[in-house]
Amino acid sequence: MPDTLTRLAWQLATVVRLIEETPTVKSLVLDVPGWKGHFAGQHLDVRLTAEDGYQAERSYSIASAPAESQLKITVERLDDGEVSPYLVGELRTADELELRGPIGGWFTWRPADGGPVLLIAGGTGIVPLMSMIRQRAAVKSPVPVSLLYSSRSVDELIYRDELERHAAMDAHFEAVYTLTRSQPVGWEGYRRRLDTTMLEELRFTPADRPLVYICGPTAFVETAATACVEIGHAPDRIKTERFGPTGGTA
Amino acid sequence: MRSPSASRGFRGRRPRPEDSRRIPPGQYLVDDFPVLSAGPTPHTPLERWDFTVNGEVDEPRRWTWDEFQQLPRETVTRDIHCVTKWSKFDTTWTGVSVDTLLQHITTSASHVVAFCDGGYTTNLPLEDVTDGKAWIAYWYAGTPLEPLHGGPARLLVPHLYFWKSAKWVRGLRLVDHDEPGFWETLGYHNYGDPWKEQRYRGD
Amino acid sequence: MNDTADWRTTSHNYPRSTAGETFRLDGNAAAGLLSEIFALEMTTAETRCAMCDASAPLGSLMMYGGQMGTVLRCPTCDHVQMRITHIPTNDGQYWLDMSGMTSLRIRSSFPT
Repeated sequence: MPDTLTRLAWQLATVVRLIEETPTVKSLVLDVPGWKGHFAGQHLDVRLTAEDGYQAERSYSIASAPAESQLKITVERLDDGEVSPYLVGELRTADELELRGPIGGWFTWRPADGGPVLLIAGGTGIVPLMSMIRQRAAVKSPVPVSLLYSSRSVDELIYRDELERHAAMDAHFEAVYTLTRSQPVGWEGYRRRLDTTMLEELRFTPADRPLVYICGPTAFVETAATACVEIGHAPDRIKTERFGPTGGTA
Repeated sequence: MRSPSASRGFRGRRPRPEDSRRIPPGQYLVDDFPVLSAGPTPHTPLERWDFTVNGEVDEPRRWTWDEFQQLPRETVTRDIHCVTKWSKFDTTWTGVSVDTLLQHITTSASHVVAFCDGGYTTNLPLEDVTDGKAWIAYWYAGTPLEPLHGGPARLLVPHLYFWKSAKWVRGLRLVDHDEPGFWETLGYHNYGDPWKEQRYRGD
Repeated sequence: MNDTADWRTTSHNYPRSTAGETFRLDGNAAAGLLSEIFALEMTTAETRCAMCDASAPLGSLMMYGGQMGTVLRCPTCDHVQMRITHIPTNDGQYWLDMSGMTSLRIRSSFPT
């Protein structure tokens, strides 16, 4: 389990595998010597160093469940980014990556925290929530979970097949999607930006007092959090992770 | 501490090679206009906005937005330099020169403190905001300054690092002693000359 | 306009922005920086606002500042509770101002 007392040190990890999740998103499977584990929702910091010593640092949410043997982060390539084009474009298997973690004890969910749990994801905001979903499945937690996942198009949905498998196999797991820019023919999910009506149509009402986790671009998170409070969810049961303006670190 | 070895193939952002004499040391050129704030964007309605000059003055001055718009305005084009290393050439601003605001004021002040909606402050020697060196700008590139970039009005002092060009400025307090502001009290240089690379205290 | 308010105190005269922000983050994003200064996990620490007395986990404070530094503001009243800069001078040093916080309650282990 993560250690609260050891000062986090930078360490070298090795890239074991690269998984293409979407045309612009890759998951990096990492071997991190001495990794002591993490809680779902935590992130790690990655640091890149150029030949002349110039450094750039970014944070990435851990996508893998604590119960998994391999650590995974999921990165979206931003065209005008400085770090993401390197991680998603240049990085190869067997390359080394400097990182530190796990970081951030507040935005976490452990099965022992209970539920029900309402997860709201915008774009790459799905990543830390996926760690929670994966952990719940790994320990076969009975805690009911409802996921509302907003994306611009179906091609940009990350982990879709895996989410559909969870939904098919687990009656206590609900995944609802909304595509805000374009929808494929025959699309049966929502077709608009998140609003209170959408929230009210989910399985859990504020009377169920769910733990709410919202993650994605800052503007999305603020809209979603405001809507949750508007329909009656308790503000102190809502945790948010704003990614900033681009929706993912550049 | 061991120096980290290079990440294979990583280059990072590099400064553009041209105009190297025009760009202060350690800076790189950008085409966009990065935003950086110490707090939420204020949204003061224009009917409640005012600009004040007070402190070590014979008489405080105050202008409403309408009165401020009646003051002589200038349009200037300047390069701007942020301490976080980006520079932007030929930015165009329209506003009122600080000289205009201080025109009929008698003062023994040596410094000013700019104060803003949201509580941000920055300090400058009085001589660095006079003689055509500073403006209260309300238009950028020919259109009203948007809140994200400091609108309705921001201080513009292009010869110093851009943290001195305080966003959402609401007034200048003239003082007879220097009063370090928000970033100056937390390790940033008190003066901030980009050509001398005065980024941090002690530089 | 209260011109004698120092930078710690948000002006009471302007309308508080509750939404429409695109840049701010949650205090949780400061976890890495805080881990360089503090030995214990800080995002779960409970802060007490010196202005409005509200208690909140540090991870829920509103975070601003970008590359200039880290500014953590009270989620209830926007008061600046904490400011941190990391200056490269002398092999790197941190400036920390916590005058906007009356107290901090820090857990010595993750809650069970």
